[in-house]
Amino acid sequence: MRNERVVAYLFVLPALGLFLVFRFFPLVAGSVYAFTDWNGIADARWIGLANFRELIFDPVFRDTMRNTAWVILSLPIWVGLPLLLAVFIHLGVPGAPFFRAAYFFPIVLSSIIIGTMFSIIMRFDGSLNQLFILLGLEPVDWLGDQRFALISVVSVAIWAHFGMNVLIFLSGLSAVPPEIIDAARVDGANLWQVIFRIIIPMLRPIVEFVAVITMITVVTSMFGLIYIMTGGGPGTATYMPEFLIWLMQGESNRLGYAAAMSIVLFAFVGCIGVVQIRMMRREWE
Amino acid sequence: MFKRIALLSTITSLALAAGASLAFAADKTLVVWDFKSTDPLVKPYFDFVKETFEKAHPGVVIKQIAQPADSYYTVLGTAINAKQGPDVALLHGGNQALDRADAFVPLKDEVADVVPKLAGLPAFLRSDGAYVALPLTVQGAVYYMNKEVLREAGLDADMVPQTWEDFTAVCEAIKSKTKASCLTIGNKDGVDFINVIAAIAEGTWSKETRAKFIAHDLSWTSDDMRAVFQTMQTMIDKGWLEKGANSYSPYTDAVNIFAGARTGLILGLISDAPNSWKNVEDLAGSGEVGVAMPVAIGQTPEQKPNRLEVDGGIGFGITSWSQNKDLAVDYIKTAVSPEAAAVLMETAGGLPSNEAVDVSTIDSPAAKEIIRLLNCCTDDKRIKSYYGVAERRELQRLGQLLLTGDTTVDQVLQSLESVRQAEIARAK
Amino acid sequence: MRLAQKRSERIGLWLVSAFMLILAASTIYPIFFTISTALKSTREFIRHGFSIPTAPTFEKFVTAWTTIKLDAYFMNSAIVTVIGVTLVLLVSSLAGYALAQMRFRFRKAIYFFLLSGLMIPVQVVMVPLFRIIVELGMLNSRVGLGILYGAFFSPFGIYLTSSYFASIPRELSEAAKVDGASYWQIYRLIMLPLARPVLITLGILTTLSCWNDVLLSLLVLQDDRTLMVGIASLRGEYGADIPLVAACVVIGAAPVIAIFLIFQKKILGGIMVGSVKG
Repeated sequence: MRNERVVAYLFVLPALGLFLVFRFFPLVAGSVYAFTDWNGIADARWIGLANFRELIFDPVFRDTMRNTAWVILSLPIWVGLPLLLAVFIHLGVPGAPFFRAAYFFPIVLSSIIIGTMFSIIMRFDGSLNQLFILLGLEPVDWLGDQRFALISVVSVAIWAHFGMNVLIFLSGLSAVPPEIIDAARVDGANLWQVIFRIIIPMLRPIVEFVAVITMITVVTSMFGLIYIMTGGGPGTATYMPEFLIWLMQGESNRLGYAAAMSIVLFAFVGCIGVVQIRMMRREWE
Repeated sequence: MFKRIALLSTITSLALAAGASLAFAADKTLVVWDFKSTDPLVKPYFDFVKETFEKAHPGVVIKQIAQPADSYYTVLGTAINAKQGPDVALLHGGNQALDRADAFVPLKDEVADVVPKLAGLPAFLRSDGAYVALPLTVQGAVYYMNKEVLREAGLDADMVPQTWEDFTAVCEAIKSKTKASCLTIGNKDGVDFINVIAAIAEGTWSKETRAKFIAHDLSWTSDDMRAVFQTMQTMIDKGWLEKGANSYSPYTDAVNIFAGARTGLILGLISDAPNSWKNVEDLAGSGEVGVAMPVAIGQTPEQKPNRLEVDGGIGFGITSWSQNKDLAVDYIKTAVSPEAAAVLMETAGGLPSNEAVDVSTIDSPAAKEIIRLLNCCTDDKRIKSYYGVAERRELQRLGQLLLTGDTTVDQVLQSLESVRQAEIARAK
Repeated sequence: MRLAQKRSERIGLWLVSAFMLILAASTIYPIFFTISTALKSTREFIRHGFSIPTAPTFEKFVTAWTTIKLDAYFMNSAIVTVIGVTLVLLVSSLAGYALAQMRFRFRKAIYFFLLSGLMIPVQVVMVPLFRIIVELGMLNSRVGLGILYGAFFSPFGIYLTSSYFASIPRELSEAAKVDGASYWQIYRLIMLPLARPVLITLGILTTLSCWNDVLLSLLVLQDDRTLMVGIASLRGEYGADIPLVAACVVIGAAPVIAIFLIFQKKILGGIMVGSVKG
């Protein structure tokens, strides 16, 4: 058994090494700057907790956390919509094979491409509003009005990722024995009962899996879209913590303050992570 | 089995080493960073500079790298921090260059021979009298007017508004007689709002107030500042502005709206940009574009020092860690030389900072008017370049909300003043 | 499948289908829009942004390929993607196998430690990360960028592969061991072939991540460009030429769409077992 242990460590070593050097170490090294006024050019001065004090009263940072919370609250849509779509495709709704193919397109496109396309489509005189006018509706400033901007960007993000989740659910569905569905129908269950009482409960482990990877996507991948579609605006309507950190590092030369934000963000994400890990742990045992 | 694993880890470390050795391939290479050399209009200029320089310095290779513009200062920041990367970097004039002054070589004696020929230098002037960078172009903002829209509104197509009253008359006529809006602000990232505010301030403030603002001494809650924002609020309230400003980019969308005669005016740049005369005329038609300086507000045109604010738009600086400083000095001299600047003027409509360039060859009517203004009426600092970095960002945010009616002038000014106070406190 | 038995159910399904059709239209329209934009001249786009091109031209594609050097960027993207994907597959399958099938101290701790990496946005660690890149001499190295991809995308790979390997009965490797197989042989001859579906899935997903990455590439390859950074910098300071950007977008997306269409069925297989068994 000693042999097994050594081999196991050797097998894990490359992964661990890469992780320590490129992900863990930068995080730790970076956090030291959080206690300085480092501007990236001159020498850093130790200023204790001043950055964190400033952070507490920084309305922009507060807004970024508020926006993050809203985005996380949209998680049920990220998971639920693809779940229902997959179920209907699986059950053979009219046009199912076509939908199956069409829904995959957005997955392969990068956020630069998606962001560029949608900022043209969703601008005030873009094709979306032209469609609205055609339907006799009032045009909406999707990206320029603070009531709609975050919803617009999140919708595009969901659009960009839902195909992936449909795909995962579809593969899970193919493991659901058709006999169970047939038996339920024979017993008089209607279609909606079959979907919500039988099929979806059977997919529970996959729903959890999707929730986990989607949460990661939500937390780490909004940056690109926001950068291109709204630049954080209007006002702070679409500011995300990563975006603010990016601004502080780049245009403002305030690397110390950016590092303090990174620590707070990581703590916040860490809390979510704990919840997620509990879910994964259940899966793991 | 262990041999296999050993082999694996050897391969991994070899790969790492290969990565390391690849980084030092060429010997004498001068690395130049910019944010626009992939633009097909600007590319001929950079090619010309590269060719000229390499011919004069055999054995030296120019490596021209265009960084994505919207990530430029972040990537440059990482380079500055690690003291790795470019020998020469293109910078925007004003605070964007001055805030990074310590990362660049202070240019003084080594450029003494070209300095007298260059306009726009104050935008790169350090407090010690040296320069962060040498300007390539001069830059400023004017209103471009679509003559088709003016005619449709029953106005004289060649009229040039001088005062706020003229401006009001133009906008009211456009509003009442055409479907077009008077002014389109392309405020997607919030920058165009800042430019319009600067243009209003230019027409409103006395020379003293301007100097105070540039020195970062003007309070945002002062009457001078409030007057500027009230004027902006008036433009919003009267419905002169194109709807949806926050979703339009100033360089493409706003220009397209202008070219499509859906708006009468845009505030554009005078040099090397898609919203400067060359592209605007290409799209709207030569002779169809009028040019107006920011109008005098609350004073007569005679009281307003008859000026167009112009400074160095973009310029080349040498990074403090560069191993090839002498070559780099030669490079930037080549880059701002009359011959090179002429190429930029030709292809991209860049107005050269080098006064030795013959601008009389341009036959665009709009450009001719701009050059006339440059010769008669310029002032060498632009309000726009001297917003403090934190205030600038705050104004980008709040301007968008002011346009949509989600905040008030008072709230904007108070918020900006507290940001300014915080900046002052931190500087101590 | 005898889906809808009652009339109300049939109507309901048609309504669902109508909604799904709109959604499908939304996924296809942007692609159609991009291609039609790429075929326009700059002037036509400005005057008639949303119509079908009246005089389609391939001029923008030619400019993209030759003037903008997209061909060189294309090669760079291909190279770093191949290195990155290879590394991710190797590292994740090794670690996934060990974590799922072997018993050793700190097994769970290491597993969760590695997974925590999934939650760190790159922007947050950019400056210290850049220092490490410089110190290790990885700046401007395509191999270096590939290694970085390995580091950033392998935590997800470990999650995927380890849950897959956990579904394989341990008795299988026990039996092989009794027959005298080494751990390496078990990995190489039993585990890898069994894990083919999940590795294909992981390979395709990692290909997408590497191919579409901008931020890491921006940090590492400062003297050179990958395709997505090339497209990003083409947006330029002012980004005026939208049809040209669109043409680049089409060139950039074509290979991944092709890969995806070819392997569509196989992706399904890999994720299936990976997620159901957990």
